[in-house]
Amino acid sequence: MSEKKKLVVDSIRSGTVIDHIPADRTLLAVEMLTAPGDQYLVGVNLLSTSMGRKGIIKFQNKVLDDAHLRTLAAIAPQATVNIIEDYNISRKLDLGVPDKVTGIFICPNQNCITNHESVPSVFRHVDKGFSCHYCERVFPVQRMKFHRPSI
Amino acid sequence: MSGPRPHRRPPFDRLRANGGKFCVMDEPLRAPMAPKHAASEFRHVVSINDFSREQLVRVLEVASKLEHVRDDRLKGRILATLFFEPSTRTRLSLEAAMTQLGGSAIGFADAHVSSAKKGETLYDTIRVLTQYADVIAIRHPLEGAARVAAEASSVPVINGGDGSNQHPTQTFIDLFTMAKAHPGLLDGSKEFTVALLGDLRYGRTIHSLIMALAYFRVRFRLISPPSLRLGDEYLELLSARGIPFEQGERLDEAVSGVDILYVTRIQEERFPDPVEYMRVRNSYQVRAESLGGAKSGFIVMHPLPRVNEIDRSVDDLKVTAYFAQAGYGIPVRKAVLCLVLGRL
Repeated sequence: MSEKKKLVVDSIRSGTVIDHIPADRTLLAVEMLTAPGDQYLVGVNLLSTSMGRKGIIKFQNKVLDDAHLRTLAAIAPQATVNIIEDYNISRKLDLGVPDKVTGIFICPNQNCITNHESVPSVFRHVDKGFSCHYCERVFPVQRMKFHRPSI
Repeated sequence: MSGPRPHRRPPFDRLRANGGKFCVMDEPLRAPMAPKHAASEFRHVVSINDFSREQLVRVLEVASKLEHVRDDRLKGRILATLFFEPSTRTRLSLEAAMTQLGGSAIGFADAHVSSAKKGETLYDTIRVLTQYADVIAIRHPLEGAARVAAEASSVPVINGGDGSNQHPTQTFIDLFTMAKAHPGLLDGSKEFTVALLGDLRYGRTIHSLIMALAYFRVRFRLISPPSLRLGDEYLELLSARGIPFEQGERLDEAVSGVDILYVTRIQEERFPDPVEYMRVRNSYQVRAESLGGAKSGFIVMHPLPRVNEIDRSVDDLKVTAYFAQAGYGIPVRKAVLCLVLGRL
């Protein structure tokens, strides 16, 4: 690793590195994925040749489970997830764009039935953000609230 | 401190089976109920967004055939009307439609007389009602309630209005009324100019109608106070479909060169800010003298109820279509009932 890169984000021995997070969603991803006691490093607005600006999160000794990956894919489908073992990438993973996101977001529309009944929210990815399957409204990702995945 | 905790085996085995992509497409936690009856053309009528142009035309064709029919084709079938919000036309025309075809209706028209008052969930109410009725019609103040009802139900669900979201059978009625006056609308033989006047921001009938008319050859005049303009998502939809539209604020722009004027009530109950409602509530009043210079074949529609946006001086004019429009609720809802119950 070049000296310059090392200065920006230190490497970890084992855990998970989430790279290529859209810069404006990095802190949202941190909020959604972290739990008290987690050790992690966050880089925001880092230069990226492919994205312009990006975010990165490095978790020490933590591997994201299915619920976390679904959550991450919902807000940053273009992110890559690298599993680190002994300072090397043991697995590399592209998340892909989920068609449907179930049970993760809370509908920002207070008059949506999902905020009043025990109904898991269902959102679909659309050009402008997420469309609620129930109230049919579309919200940009920045307006989305979410259920924190169980730790 | 000991060394790093051994981490759990990541659940990535599925990657190999999925070409390296982690599949995050998961299904709703609650699968839709299996249908109680044999296949029908439409399972539920929840949102106009679920309907193709062909399906819309099909509903109108069936409505046209059933317009003067009174028989027993729905004999023994029960409609449950669950109206958690006030309604006159929707509930009564559904019950009348059911009765005209030999069926019967049960239900309530006030949430305070149902178990919702005791805290019963909509899901439970629907699961119970599916055992009493063959088809359910619901009106609810919360958006998405009809979708939840449809997913909980083993019998067809008809949305009679869910908050400010959808009112699909009203849209069928609006299209039916338009097609009666202008048969060329459905076959696309001519382009029609439709003016939408009033509350374009909160009105659910406006939103559903725009989605439906976007399938046909129309151009829109969108006339409203600035604060009640149509939402960007609908303007973008019109642009994406290549449908011409103009926005304006003056009543005369809604008449001159227009084929259909669709007036809506400015709905006090949808305004988050009462001061804003007071500011715009009397923005327009269509009077007989406002309609001078209208095109031949011009009609005035309104989903009703009206407050004062159409003066009584318009009621007996040849161009008046809103009372007939309310009457078409019966043939259209007969068609919907027959289509969802598979009894044509």
